[in-house]
Amino acid sequence: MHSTTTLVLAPQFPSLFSSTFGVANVSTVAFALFWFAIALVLIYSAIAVYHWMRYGHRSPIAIPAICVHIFVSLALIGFAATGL
Amino acid sequence: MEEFTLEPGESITLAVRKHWFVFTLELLPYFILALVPLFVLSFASGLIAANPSFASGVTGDLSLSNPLMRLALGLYWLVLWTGTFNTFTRYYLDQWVITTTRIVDIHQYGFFDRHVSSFLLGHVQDVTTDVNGLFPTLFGYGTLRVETAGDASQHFLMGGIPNPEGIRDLILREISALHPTAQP
Repeated sequence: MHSTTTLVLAPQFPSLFSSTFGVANVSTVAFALFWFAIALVLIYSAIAVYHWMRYGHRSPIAIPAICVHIFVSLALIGFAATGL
Repeated sequence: MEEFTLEPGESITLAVRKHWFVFTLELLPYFILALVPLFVLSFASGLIAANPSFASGVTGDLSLSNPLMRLALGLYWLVLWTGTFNTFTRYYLDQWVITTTRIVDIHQYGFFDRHVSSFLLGHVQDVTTDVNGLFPTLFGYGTLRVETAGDASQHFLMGGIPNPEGIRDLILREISALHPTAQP
């Protein structure tokens, strides 16, 4: 009596749920997202500072407002960076 | 402000921005949204404490010891802070300036979107105030509407300004001062 063994050659894809692939993927996305957000905040800050200096430069609170914005933004960026 | 230059003999009587309470109301959504993740994390911690089996399941990583949570929370708060500062910038750069001869209406609708209009007090035909609602009545803010006379009649509106009745009286006094001989 002969027994027949069938070999099925299924294509091998990297598992999306494998720990190595998953962790590497998430950290890459997180890194890209972080720098994208930093770029947006930098552009926003430059525009905001321009408006304050253009239209509110005579106000005594213009410089403190800009300083507070930069300080808080840097603090939050620093906090987010601890997750990289 | 760079938008206008005072004429000889002209002086600024009053520069007015929106009431602080209106500004606070505009900031409130950002404040609430900033607190939401903390409540969610606190709720998740409570859930884990009550049922430890959750810790190894879905909510296992929902704590600030997880780097990805810190990153997400930091970026989320950064976006909210940007919105908050944007609201403050619009609040501060948005104002009415009343001088001895005219009213300058400055609206900062957004970045690169600034509208400045000026009209002479001599052209003012009607000044209307509107204080409508509980908070406006309690905190003393409302809407001031100024209508100009002539063929190209226009109306200018500023909402949420403090003491609208006082500003209306000030405008009418300035108009009277422009025409000292005119009697009602």
